[in-house]
Amino acid sequence: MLDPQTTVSIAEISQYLWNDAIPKQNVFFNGSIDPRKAQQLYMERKALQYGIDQQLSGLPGTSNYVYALCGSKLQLAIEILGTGTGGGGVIPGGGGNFSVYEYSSNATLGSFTIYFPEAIGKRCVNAFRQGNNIGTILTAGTPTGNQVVWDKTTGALTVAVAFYDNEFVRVVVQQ
Amino acid sequence: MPLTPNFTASQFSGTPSVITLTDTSTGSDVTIAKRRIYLLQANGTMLVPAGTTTTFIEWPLANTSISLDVLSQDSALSITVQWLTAGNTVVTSKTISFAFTAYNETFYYGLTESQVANSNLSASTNWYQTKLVLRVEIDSANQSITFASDIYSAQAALNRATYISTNQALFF
Repeated sequence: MLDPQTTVSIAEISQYLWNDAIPKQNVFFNGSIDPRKAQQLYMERKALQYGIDQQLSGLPGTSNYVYALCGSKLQLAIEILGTGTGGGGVIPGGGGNFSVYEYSSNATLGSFTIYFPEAIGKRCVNAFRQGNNIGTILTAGTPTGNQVVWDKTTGALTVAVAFYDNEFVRVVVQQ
Repeated sequence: MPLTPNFTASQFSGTPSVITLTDTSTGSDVTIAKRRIYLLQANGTMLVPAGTTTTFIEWPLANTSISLDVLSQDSALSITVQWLTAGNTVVTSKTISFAFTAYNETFYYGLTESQVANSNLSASTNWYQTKLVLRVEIDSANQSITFASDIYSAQAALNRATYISTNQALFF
């Protein structure tokens, strides 16, 4: 059995989900959902909360009853409670975002490092600088020659030869 | 450091007639020698335990908490605690309004328990509509206190809720 307090949280989320679903159903399918569903969840969840606060008898039964009332919104509510965000879509066969992104910026004269905050946490697939060719992309250490170092924790690209004024720099990154 | 007065109130399902006050003040004041409680009801009278001849209740300074057996139904009270000198001069005081809802909340919980045992009850229109009214009245009482410290409106809502719970044969 779930912890009753967790059931309260799931019921609160389910109540919102039902409340959101009922008007949509009314529009598209002429009201096939029990219109009292969200109200019911609110009413029984309040009873459960009181039972928890006062440590009343019969709490497991009440908790299970409220849990069951969540109905078809239960799974999504659990997912939202677990992640703190909407369940969202799932990519069949794998999951995760493997898209490639390109970010660019202009460097400051004499600097060796340029930052791409949008690329933090991503793997650098390729890089380009206007004034010099780029060779090996390292992930640690100190670059020499045409090497660069990509630090994904800060989104920093460090070069061995200083940037010239307003030099255009581009990185291509992937999750 | 001067005394910053404060207190909390609680009520338990098993003993709904009893309210418990706990002093949560911080700081101190050497002139304070006694403490009193006033329980103002929505009808303007002071509530006191049976046998008390004053309009207030003495709350000894040595006791952090005090339990008062004063309620016969859910009630909204404006509670004032005074800290006084030995000569009965008020040094400081604090007033907080509360809705004590344990009678009706416990009855309401019992309705849900009945549904757990017999889920067909929720199919009855009267059952749910009356239960919803009861919920609304309890919530209204709490909101009257939370939003406006309005013990009059809160008591009116609690009286309507109490009518349902004490005349359940008419509604469920």
